[in-house]
Amino acid sequence: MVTVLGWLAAVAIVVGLAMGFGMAPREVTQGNVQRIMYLHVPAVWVAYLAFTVGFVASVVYLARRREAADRLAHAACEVGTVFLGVNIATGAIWGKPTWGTWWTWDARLTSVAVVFVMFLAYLLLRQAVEDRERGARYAAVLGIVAALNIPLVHFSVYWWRTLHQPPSLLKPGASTMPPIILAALLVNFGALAILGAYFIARRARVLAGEAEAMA
Amino acid sequence: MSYARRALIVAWKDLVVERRSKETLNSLLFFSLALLFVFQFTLGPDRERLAAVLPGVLWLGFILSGVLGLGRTFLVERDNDCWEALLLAPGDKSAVYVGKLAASLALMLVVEAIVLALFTLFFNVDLWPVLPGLALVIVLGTLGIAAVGALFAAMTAQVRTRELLFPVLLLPVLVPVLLGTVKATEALLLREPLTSVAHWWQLLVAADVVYVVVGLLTFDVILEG
Amino acid sequence: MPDNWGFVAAAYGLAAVVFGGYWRWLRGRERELAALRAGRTIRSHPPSRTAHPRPEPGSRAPLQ
Repeated sequence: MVTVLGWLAAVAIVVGLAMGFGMAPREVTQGNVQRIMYLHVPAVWVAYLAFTVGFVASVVYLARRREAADRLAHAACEVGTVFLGVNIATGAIWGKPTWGTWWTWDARLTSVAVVFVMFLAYLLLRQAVEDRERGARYAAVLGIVAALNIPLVHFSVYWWRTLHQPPSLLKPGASTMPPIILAALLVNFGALAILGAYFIARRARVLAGEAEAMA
Repeated sequence: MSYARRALIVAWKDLVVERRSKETLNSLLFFSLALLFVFQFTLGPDRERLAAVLPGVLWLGFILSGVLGLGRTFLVERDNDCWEALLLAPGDKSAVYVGKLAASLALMLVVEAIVLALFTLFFNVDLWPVLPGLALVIVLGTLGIAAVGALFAAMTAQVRTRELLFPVLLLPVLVPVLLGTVKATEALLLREPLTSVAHWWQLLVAADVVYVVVGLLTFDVILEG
Repeated sequence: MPDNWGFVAAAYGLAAVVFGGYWRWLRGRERELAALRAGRTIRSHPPSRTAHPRPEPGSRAPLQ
């Protein structure tokens, strides 16, 4: 099952790359550097999807105490953090030629950076607690707090950046995206989502193996 | 024994311990004073620059003191072999959470009131016109800090790397609260219309509700063992 | 506006390195666990001296 996902991911990534580099046109204002978007944007979507899975799994674990749910939560939050890291790094690489700077404290970047640090803390907590069962409980609570905090982070940062600022400083909306670019974006999202699912499944399997080894 | 009574007993115990030892209160107070001095040294006599960074400095002081104080809130039980007593406490253990939250909140508010008074004295800021609004911001913000802090403090009390882990867990989660309180304080000090502050009050209330509810629902889980 | 293909390559290259590295780390952990399991089964079923020596279950390269 996991192997099938893996091969599916590989195929989907190739298709995504083909769309991003082959079919999608050269963007008018930014030039070819815009193609980084086909990696950068889907990465954050997959990350947030993974954190949502982690949230649900954490709730299920606290309600039912099924170890499989704990392993899923751990794997999902870890994989989400990896994808978010890729999102931040590729965002910086895109930002340098486009905005002239590696980093700027705009709403989206700031929010994502905070969420990234929150889930890094989650991984640190997992490492720090030695007792398995206690670690699972604590991480589930933290996973729930962190996931619920994501909208709060986004709203607060968004208000911080937009109140008292003229609308011209807001990023232009993506509502007038040419359909071919939207298609490439969605295909790449599908590819990265399958890759994410594959990583989560494999990571959960490793966790199961570790639990068995400790038993 | 009723829920409220149990919560009150926990809060009263913490406050009495604190009143006798004054451990936490002293370190919080002197830490904030040190902060005050350092910022005076760095920012110097420039009135305008000072006024611009005052909200940030104030809340930096509050939250760093909070991290220091909150991180220790369960150490009283851990160091005195009372942890098992907490685990064996009858009934809904979230009463303990409410008690701890109330005690931490009271302690932090006392320190913040003193620090605020000193700041206005040393930096010559006129706070009287905006005091009610400012008091609301401070209470809402401190409630948020204490709500998450009490939960995470229980979580990290038994972990070996507690001093490292507690701030790492707490500070990223508290970014919305920090943002809301700093911007609201700034808007109030700049005498901006209350409608602009209203956004931040709403954010703080929403955050507080989320944190307290999650704390109440999950504290039992933390104290299982 | 210049095309900045270098940046595009850097971005995709970074993603390849990160994802590839994570994949290799997972594979490494799986191999460790397999070796651990193999070590256990050999210890609980000691091979008889007359039989042909069995190859260790974990020593064959995994199909992935």
